[in-house]
Amino acid sequence: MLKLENLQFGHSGALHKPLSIDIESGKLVLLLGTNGSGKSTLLRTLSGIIPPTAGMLKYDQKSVHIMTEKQRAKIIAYVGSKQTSFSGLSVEEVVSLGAWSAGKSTDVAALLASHDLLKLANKRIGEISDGEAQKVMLARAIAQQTSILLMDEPTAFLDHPSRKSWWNNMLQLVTDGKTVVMSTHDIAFIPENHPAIVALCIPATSGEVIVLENVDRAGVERFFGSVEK
Amino acid sequence: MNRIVWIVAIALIPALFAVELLLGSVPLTFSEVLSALTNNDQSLQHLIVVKSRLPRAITAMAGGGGLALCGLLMQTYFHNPLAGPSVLGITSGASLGVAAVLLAGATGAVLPAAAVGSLLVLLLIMLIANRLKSQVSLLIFGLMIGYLTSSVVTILQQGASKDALRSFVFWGMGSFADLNNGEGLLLLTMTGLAALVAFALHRQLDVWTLGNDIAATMGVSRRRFTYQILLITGLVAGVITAYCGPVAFLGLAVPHLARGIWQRGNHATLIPAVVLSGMAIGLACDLICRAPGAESGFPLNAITSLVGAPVVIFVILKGRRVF
Repeated sequence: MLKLENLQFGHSGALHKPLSIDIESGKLVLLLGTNGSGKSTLLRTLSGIIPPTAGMLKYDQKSVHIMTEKQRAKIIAYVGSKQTSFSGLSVEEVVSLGAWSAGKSTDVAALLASHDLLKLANKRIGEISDGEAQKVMLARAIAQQTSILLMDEPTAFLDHPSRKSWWNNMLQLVTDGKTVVMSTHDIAFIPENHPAIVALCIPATSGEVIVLENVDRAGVERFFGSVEK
Repeated sequence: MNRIVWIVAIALIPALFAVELLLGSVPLTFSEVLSALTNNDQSLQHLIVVKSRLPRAITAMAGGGGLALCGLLMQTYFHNPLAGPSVLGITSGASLGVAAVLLAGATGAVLPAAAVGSLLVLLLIMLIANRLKSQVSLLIFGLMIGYLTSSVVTILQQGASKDALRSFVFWGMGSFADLNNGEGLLLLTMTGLAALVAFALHRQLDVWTLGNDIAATMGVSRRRFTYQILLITGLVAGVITAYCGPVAFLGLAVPHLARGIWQRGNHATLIPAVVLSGMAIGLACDLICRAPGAESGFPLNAITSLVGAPVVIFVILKGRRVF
């Protein structure tokens, strides 16, 4: 279980009121909000990249921000929104690094196949398109076999068919018990009957982060509209 | 294909090493070199081979391999294909240290002065590297450090003796020739150890190429990794610069050549590939310095710049996304 205790996040001082919520495993957590509202900053805080400005983030009673990077890599995987264009590594090498970083082994070929990446296996990650690189980074994060997966607008560079299969993969991970936290603008791909979504709606200006627990897609959409205004 | 590349690279080093011992103002035959190496008879051949050519060959190998390794590590660390010991002002820092002690007449302190100077600049760059987002701004920063140090050096020169000035100018041209066998072997051992330590970090280096955020979530401690890279590059580049002068471009250019030849981006391949190529290119550059026609030899930096500057132009023009 992921526990946020009076968590505040931001670059220079906290923008929003303290946020407290318990997130059980196997949940789909959506971060909603306009550009610049702080979705990426919250994700970078949850992933341990930057410390919170106040409060605590705990996983199974342990504070995420005092873990070593190695310990954290076994629990939380993160897919950023920026592409890593300077790496000369091949797609296959990147995906196997995911397993290495968590001290695990994985069937890289199977993972590549299930993410439609087999034909790119020997391409350099800097030579493929942004959408393809996004899929590679997701496969890499899955190779870490963590219980929590954090993603910053993971479908931003994907075309429509890729989005569809991407969401199918994602929902399967949630069904398998992974906690998936992601910022996104395309909730239309979530099936109407997906149970118990958690949504964190971050207001554009300072104020309280609105927490919706155990809602369905329609419930999210109602708030989505109000937040994007 | 890949196996052939490795075999050629490994075979090239003893071949060039042998040529270093055979050729020169007094050409020797293979058996003359062999007997000079094995018999300590104080003959002319013995003096030429053991006192002059052997240490020079060892130093060229160690210097080339070591600087190339530093270049690779810095390019990976800064996510910048134009990083390298000479470009980022690290050798300028060493120059400043050496200028300060040489021009003050303290010739014995050249080694620590160069090491301290280069480490200080490297530390400074690592502290501000986060603010320098683009490749070009890091490059301009290095250039400015170069200008600053050279102006301080010029001011220091005003009060210096002729002899001190002369030895500083010669040091600044770079040379693999001024070491004895013991010092050469020390350099070679250091380069070898640095390569082993870097190899032990090859996965971390790979992860680091995916970006600082991703690296932080894939088990790489930014602080620790920074110290490790700082220690290896500062020590190796600093000591080589102290002994051989501010050798230009080898550190920057060799990693690009190795990437082009091996066609790989992972550090398990790149580290040995870059070190081997650096050794071979160090030997080759030294051989060109000693080419017939040059009275007292060409300055090393003239040759390495001739090799390295086109590589920089090529990298900029190609604007490669992958490096």
